[in-house]
Amino acid sequence: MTNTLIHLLLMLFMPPLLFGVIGKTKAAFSGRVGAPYLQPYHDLFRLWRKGAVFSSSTTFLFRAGPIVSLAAIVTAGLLIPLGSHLPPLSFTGDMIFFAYLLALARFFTMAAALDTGSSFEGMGAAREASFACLAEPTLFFALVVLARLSGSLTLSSMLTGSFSRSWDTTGAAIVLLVAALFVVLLVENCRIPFDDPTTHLELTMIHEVMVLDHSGPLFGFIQYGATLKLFILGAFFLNIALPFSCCNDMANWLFFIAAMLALAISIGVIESVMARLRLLRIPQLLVAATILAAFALVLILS
Amino acid sequence: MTGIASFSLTLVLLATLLAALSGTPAFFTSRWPRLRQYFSISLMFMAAMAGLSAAGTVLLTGQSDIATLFWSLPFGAIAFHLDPLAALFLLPIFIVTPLATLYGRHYWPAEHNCRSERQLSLFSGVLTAAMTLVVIANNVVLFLIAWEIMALAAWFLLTAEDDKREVRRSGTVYLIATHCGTLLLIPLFLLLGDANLNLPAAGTLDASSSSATLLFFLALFGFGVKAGIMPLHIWLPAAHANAPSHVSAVMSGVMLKIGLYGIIRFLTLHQQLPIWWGWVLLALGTLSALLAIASALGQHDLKRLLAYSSIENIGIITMGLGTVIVATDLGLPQVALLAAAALTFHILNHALFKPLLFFGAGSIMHATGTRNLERLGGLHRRMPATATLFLMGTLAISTLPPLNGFASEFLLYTSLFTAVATGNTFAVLALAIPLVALALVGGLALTCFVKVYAMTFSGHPRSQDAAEAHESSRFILIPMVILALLSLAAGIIPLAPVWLLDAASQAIIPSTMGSKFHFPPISLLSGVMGGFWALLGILLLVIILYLLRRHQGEAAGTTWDCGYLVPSPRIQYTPSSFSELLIKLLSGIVKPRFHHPVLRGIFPTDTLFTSTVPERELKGVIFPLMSGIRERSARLRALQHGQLHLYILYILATLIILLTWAYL
Repeated sequence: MTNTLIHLLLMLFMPPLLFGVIGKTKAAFSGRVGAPYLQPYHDLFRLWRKGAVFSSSTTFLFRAGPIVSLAAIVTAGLLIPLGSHLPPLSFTGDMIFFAYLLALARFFTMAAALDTGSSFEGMGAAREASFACLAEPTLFFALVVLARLSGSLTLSSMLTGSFSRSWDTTGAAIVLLVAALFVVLLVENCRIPFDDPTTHLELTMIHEVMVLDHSGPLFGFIQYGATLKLFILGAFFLNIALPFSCCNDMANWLFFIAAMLALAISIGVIESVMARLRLLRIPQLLVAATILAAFALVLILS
Repeated sequence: MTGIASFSLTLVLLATLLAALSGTPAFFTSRWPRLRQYFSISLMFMAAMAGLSAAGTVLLTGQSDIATLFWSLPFGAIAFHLDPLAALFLLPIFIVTPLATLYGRHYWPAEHNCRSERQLSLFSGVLTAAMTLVVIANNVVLFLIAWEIMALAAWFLLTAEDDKREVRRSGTVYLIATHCGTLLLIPLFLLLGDANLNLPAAGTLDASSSSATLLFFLALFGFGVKAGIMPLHIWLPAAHANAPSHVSAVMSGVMLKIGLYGIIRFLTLHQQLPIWWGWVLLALGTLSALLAIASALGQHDLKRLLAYSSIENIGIITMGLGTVIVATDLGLPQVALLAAAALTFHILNHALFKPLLFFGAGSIMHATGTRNLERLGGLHRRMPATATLFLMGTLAISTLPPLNGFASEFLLYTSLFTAVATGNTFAVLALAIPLVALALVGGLALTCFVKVYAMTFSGHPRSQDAAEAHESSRFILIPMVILALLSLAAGIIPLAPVWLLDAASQAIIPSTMGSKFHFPPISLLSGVMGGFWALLGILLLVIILYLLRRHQGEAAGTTWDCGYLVPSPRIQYTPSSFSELLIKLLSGIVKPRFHHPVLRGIFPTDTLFTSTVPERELKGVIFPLMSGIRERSARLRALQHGQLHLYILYILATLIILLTWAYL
C-alpha cells in the first residue's frame, strides 16, 4: 500500500525535477550557473495560472490533444514498475497496452498539431510520425527479449524478476538491449541527437514545433506530459540497465531516485557533447538500434 | 440436428430470400423510385434481423445443422450446412449490407440516378443473398454457383457509373481477376467433393496425401484472389476506389471476408495441417500487411488508401490464421487459441470500422465532389458530425485503445508473445519476426491515418470544393453512427464479442475440442478492460482539471504564421509532403514516381509537380505481361476475320476431327 502511494507520488511530482537536473548539467558544461533545479515546477505553475489563446483555425481536437495525451501517459505510468517495486496496475499483456498508450498519446499530439493548419506543425508532425514508427520495432524486439528471459507477459515480472539480475549469464545480450533502449529513450523523448529541445529555429525542431501554438494550462499539460514520458521510459530503461534489489523497500526507493537522477545527468551530458544529427541520419540510427535489439534476441537464444 | 439449429437455418434461408427479393422491383420498373428504395431498405433490414438472430443463436448454442432441399441443381443437390464458423461470417454480411442500403437512400437517390440506381438496388440484394449462400453451402455445385453469382453481382455494383472510363477499367480488371480465381476453384471443388458432390465433413481429409499440396495451393490462390492477399490483390485498389462508396464498404467489409471464409473452411476440412502451410500463410500475411500499408502511405486518393488498408488488415487476419496452424503443430495450444480468437474478432472488427471509414469517404465525396486528399481540408467546420465519426473510425483502424482495433490486435500480439515466451528456439525466431512486423505495420498505419484524418478535416480548405462542403443528411450519418457505436462497444467491452465468437474460434482449431468457455482470451481481456477503465478514469480527471481553469479566459487568435502578412491555405503541409520522408525511406518497396517540374529561364511560368505511388504489380508485371502475350499472338488474329462462312467451316472441320477421333 505504501509502495503504491510512493509510486503515485514519485510519478506525479518527480518528473519536472529531471528536466531541472538536465538543465543544470548542460549549464555546468557550458560554464553557466543555469536555471534552478525547481525551475520546471515554477514554469508549470505559471502556465497553470495563465489564460490561453486558441487559433481560430483549430477545433475541439486542438483542445483534446493535450488532454488525451496526458491521460494516456499517466495511465502508462501506472503500468511501469519503479525500481523493483510492483506497479499499481498490472495484467497479462500490459506491455502491449503500454506501447499502444504511447501511440495514442502520439496520435493526439500529431492530430492537434495538424489541426492548426500551419506548415510548422505539419512539418513537426511529419517528422515525428516517421521517426516514431521506426522506433516501434526496437521497442517490440526488446519486449520479445524480456518476455523470453522472464517467461511471462507482464511488465512487472519482466522488469523486476530475478532473471534480469543475471548479468553474468546474459550480459552480452543485455548490453545490446541497453544500447538499443537508450536510443529509443532518446528518440521518444525528443532529446539530442534526434531533436533539440532548446532550439529556437522551427526548421530544426520536431517536438517543440508540434506544440508551437499551444498556450496556457493545456501547454502546461504538454510540458508536464513530456517530463512524465521521460520519467516512465527512464524507469523502464533503468529496470534493465541497473537492476538492483536490496534489503528493504526504503533503500530500493532511494536507489531508484538516485538512478533516475543519474540518468538525467547522463542525458544532460549527451546533450552537451553531441549535436543533433542530420535528419537523413536519424532513420539509419533507428534501424541500427532495431538490429542491435534483434541481435540481443539471437544472443539469448543461443 | 435439433429444433433450434434447424430453425436457425430456416431463418437464414428466409433472410437470403428477403435479401434477394429486396431489389427485384428495380428489375421490373423504374417508376416510384423513392418507394422502391424504401422497400428494398425495409426488406434488407428484415433480412438482417432474421440473419443476425440466426447467427447469434448458432454462435451461442454452438450447434450446427445440415439440411438438403428437395430440389436439385444440375449435377448437385442443394445442401446447406450452418455451423458456428458460417455464423461468424453471417455477422458482417447482415450488419453491413442493410446499413449500406440505408446509406444509399441519400447517397445514391433513385430519383436522381435513374439508370444506375436500379442496377445498384437489384444487385445489392443479389450480392447479399449470394454471399449468404456461399457461407452456408454444403454442396460443391451450390457453392460454385453462389460464388459466381456473388462475383458477378459485385461487378454489376462496382460498374454502376459505367460512363466513366476509370470505372469500366477497374471493373474489367476485377472481372478477369475473379474469374482467374474461380478457374482455380473449380478443379479444387471437383477434387474435394465426395460422391454426392457434397463437401466433406470437418476434420476428415488427410493433409499428408499427395494431392493435398495441390489442393492447398488451389485454395490459397483461388480464394486469395477474392480475399485480396498479396500478390493476388491487383484488382482491389482500383475496384474499391472507383465503386460507389457504399458498394466499396460492402466489398471491403464483407466480400473480402468471404474469400477468407473459403480458405478457413478448406483448412478445417483436414484433420491435421502440415506446419509449412502455416508458415506460408504467416509469410504471405506479413508481406501483405507490410507492403499494403507502405503503399497506402503514398496514396492521394482517399478510397484507394482505404482499399490498401483493407489489404493490410486481411494480411493481419491471414497472419493470425498462419499462427493458429503453426502453434497447433508446435504443440502450443494456448497460442493457437488466442490467435484463433484474435482472427475471428478481427474479422468482425474490420467489418465494423472499415465500412465506417468508407461511409465517411462517401460523405466527403458527396459534400465536396472529390476524393483527392490534396484538395480537401478544413472539413471539420463544415461537416462536424462526419468528422467526429470518421475520427472514431480512424482511432479504431490505427489500433489505439480503447477501441476495437486494439482489442483484436492485442489478442494477436499476446498469442505471439506467448509463443515467444514459452516456445522452443525455432518458434521464437520464426514468430518474433511477424510480431515485430506487426508493430511496424501498426506504426505505419498510425501515420497513414493521422494523415488521412488531419489532411481532410483539419486546417484550411485546400480547394474551393472543400470550402463549400455541407454536412451530409441523416440517412448518410445514421449508418456511420451505428457502426461507430458498435466499434466503441466492441472496444470498451471486448469480452462480449469474444465470448460470442468463441464457438467460431473453436471451429478453427482442429485439435481442441470440449468446453465452451476458453479462459485465456476471456481472462486476458478482463485484464485489459481494467486498463481501459483506468485510462477512461484518468481521462475524466484530466478533463475536469482542464475545465477548472477555463474560466481564466480563452482568447482567439491566429495560427503562428512567422510574420507573414497573407498566409494562404497552400502553405499547409499536404498529404504528399506528410508522407514524403517515409515514402522515400521505403522507396525500394513502394517505387514512387516523382514528376519534377523543369524550371527554365529567369522567370519560369507555372508548372506542376506530381508524385504517385502506382500499383506496382499491376502496372509493372501484369500489364507488360499481357501486352507481350498480345503482341506475340498477333499472328493468331488472322483467324478472327469476321467472315461467317469461314466460321461455319471451322465448326465443320472440328466436328469431322472429333468424329474421326471418336471412331479411332
